[in-house]
Amino acid sequence: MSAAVEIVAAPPREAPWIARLLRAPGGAIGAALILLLLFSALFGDALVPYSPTRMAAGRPLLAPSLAHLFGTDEFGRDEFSRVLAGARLTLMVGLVAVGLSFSAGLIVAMLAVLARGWRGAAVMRLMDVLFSFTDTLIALACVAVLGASLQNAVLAVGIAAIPFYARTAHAAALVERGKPYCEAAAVAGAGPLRLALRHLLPNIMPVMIVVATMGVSTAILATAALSFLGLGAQPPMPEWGLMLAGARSYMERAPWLMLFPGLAIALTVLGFNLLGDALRDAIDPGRRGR
Amino acid sequence: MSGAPLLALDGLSIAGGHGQILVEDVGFAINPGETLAVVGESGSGKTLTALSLLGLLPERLRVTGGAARFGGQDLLRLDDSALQHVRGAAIGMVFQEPMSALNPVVTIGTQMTEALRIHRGLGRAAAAAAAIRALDLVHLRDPAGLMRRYPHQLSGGMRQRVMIAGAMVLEPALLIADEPTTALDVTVQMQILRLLAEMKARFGTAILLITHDMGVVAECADRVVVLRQGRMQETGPVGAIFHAPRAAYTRTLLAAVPRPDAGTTPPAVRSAAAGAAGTGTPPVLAIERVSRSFRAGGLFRRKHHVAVDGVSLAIAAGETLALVGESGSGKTTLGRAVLGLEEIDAGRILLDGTDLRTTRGAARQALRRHVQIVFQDPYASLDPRMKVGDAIAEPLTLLGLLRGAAARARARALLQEVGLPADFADRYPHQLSGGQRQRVAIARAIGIGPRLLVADEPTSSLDVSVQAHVLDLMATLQARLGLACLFISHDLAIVRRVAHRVAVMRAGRVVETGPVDAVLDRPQDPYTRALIAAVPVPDPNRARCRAGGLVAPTGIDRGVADAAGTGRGVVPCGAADPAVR
Repeated sequence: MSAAVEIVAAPPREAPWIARLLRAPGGAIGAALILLLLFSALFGDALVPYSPTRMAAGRPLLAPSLAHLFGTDEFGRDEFSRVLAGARLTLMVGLVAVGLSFSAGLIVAMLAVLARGWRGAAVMRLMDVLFSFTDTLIALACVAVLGASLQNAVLAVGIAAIPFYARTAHAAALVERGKPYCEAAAVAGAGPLRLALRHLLPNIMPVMIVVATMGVSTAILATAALSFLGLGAQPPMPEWGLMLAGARSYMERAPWLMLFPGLAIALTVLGFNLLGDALRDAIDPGRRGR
Repeated sequence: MSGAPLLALDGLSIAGGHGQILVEDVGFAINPGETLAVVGESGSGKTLTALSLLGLLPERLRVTGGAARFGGQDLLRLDDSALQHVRGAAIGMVFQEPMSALNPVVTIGTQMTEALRIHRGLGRAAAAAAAIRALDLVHLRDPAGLMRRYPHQLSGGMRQRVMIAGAMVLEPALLIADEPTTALDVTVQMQILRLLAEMKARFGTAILLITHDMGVVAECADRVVVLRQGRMQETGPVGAIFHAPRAAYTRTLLAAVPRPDAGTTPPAVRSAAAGAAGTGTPPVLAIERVSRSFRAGGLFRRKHHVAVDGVSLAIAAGETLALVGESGSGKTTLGRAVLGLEEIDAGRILLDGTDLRTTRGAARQALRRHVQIVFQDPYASLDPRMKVGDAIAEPLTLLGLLRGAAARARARALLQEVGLPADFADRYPHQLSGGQRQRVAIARAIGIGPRLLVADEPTSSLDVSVQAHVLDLMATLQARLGLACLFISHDLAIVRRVAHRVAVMRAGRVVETGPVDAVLDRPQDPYTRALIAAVPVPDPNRARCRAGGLVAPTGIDRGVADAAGTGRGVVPCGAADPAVR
């Protein structure tokens, strides 16, 4: 066989996706912010100068100073300690809620693709119906039934986002399903289950990971909103949304009480969004310039 | 050569994002009224060269050197707003994909008049009148009605005519055509090439034709530039390039082009399966009066589109039957039906005498073992996230033939069998070239020892020199394994090279079938004759689309131009593309 001619010209290996991710400015900033959050979540306990729930660590409503970096709240609790401790809660909230909606949505989508025909269509139409209610409304309904607590708020936010992930995964899977390699696998004798697990799932994963990364920020915001409304975290939890709610009454006397938890939420959301954006550019071959 | 050239490109170099050199020191000149063909395989830099002239290079690429003198300006140094006056007005462009080059949500009329209103400042009515004249010029029927239609309502050939009308409406001095006929059927291709020649003859437009097809070059070009990996290999008049090529690469390129005319079939291929073919042995595949139709249209206007209409065919072991036809002829639907990927409405498909439709479950799975496929596009037919070795081993394990380490070992052996190193098993498809991927697809298909291979245009997305290798590989493997092969193709030159028998399909029916030589040399059906006549012949002496040959280069009147446009009676132009004339 005279194949030697073309073997020479194999395309070179390209830089791994993680290198491409960090080379993009958005990706580097996003990764840095997420690392900061991760660091606070892991080591916040050891670093806090005061216990986040200890009342009268200082006088109430102190302005930021060296002793109290972010000031103190209405009960004299150290704001810096509370924001730092909130990182762990926030990270847990984001990951658990997204993990729930992500996996449930993926399962629903795969079932719909596998079932095909009217069953698959029925499942997806049901998702469409759920999708037409706003997330907050579904979450409110869930909390109303389950009762107000942070766990229930996370559960509610997770459930409310299932249709979103199901639809995204379903659309991506349908695109992949129509490609020749899926037909080639079918001709090779692959059944629907193998097709879904071995071929479709790995191929829609890049898209889904990107979507999920951005979804973390949405989940954090939604949970914070529920806490702000008093339906999520209960006092004295150092949850950023709840802290915002408490600070609202002192907006004029102690604006830093709103500033720092708000800033923390904003930076976390920004971090996940930047990371998701850069991740998409790094993973999606279509956007990769040659 | 009379006077100064229209465009003089000199020492063009283009570098990529990481500083790699994509085009190096390319230079050529185009005289007014001349067709210059830039020929090369993928990665040769032919499209980049054209894009750089229009300032349309992708963002990360830069022109690192050279000059392109055009009408007293250097195109490579113009800023965007200056280039905008050149684009469209002085240089027109026709792209490969008429589907994506037209905006799908805007009417033809709006797209046609846009350029006129921008460049000429014409009013709505005047622009519309000019656009209608241009559509008439490219022989589109009912140009006024066409102005209100959307691109999806037009056939591929009609869209490419609209593109040419849009490029010609401002009467540019230079028309850049980037693979203008690659996405089209052969009979339509011939019409478009003739139309380009006519435009050139009528307006004295120079044409920069970018193509990979030496047949198209022979048909149209006055002079040729051969590119390879961004470097010029050779340049010269078309006759010299074809009859006395100097560069070794040009010779390779010419040798690799399969010719549709007689006498080029490798005897090895022909004799290999001659013993098995056509003798008394029962056919591996028998297709009996198979029909398949699709429902189309909305809720209220149901239409039945008959894709396959009562087709009967048989293929013996070791035999290759080529299924030939243009897009929409039903050849792919039939191939998919044989694979069980498509249901059939009527008829039977027998594999070794067993009806595929009546068997279910395990028996069907067992039959699966005997039919495999090689798809057209090797970039899409391999799972991008599965290692090559796993992809080849997949059918083996799924059918329970081999598992684990044994399957992996077999995959490596199969890779060597198709001429690839065994350690390719650990690579992902995107690390392989197109030809290598198609080899992997073949290895995957033959791994389970099938009796029948369905090859759906297996080489049409590959470069010519790679095409030849892949076809040779398929022929060798077929002869050794005694495979029956259903070879679906629109390319008669390739069909002559690989097939023993041909079946010509048109609108779902087989219009002619028989041994390759008989059908291609002495076609009985008028459609087969038209199809054969439309294939570009890589021989400039027999060219039919060069202005100098058929049409007087100056003093064109409508009558002469139309004679060129419609051909010499061999190709029924109007028959294949109803929009014409």
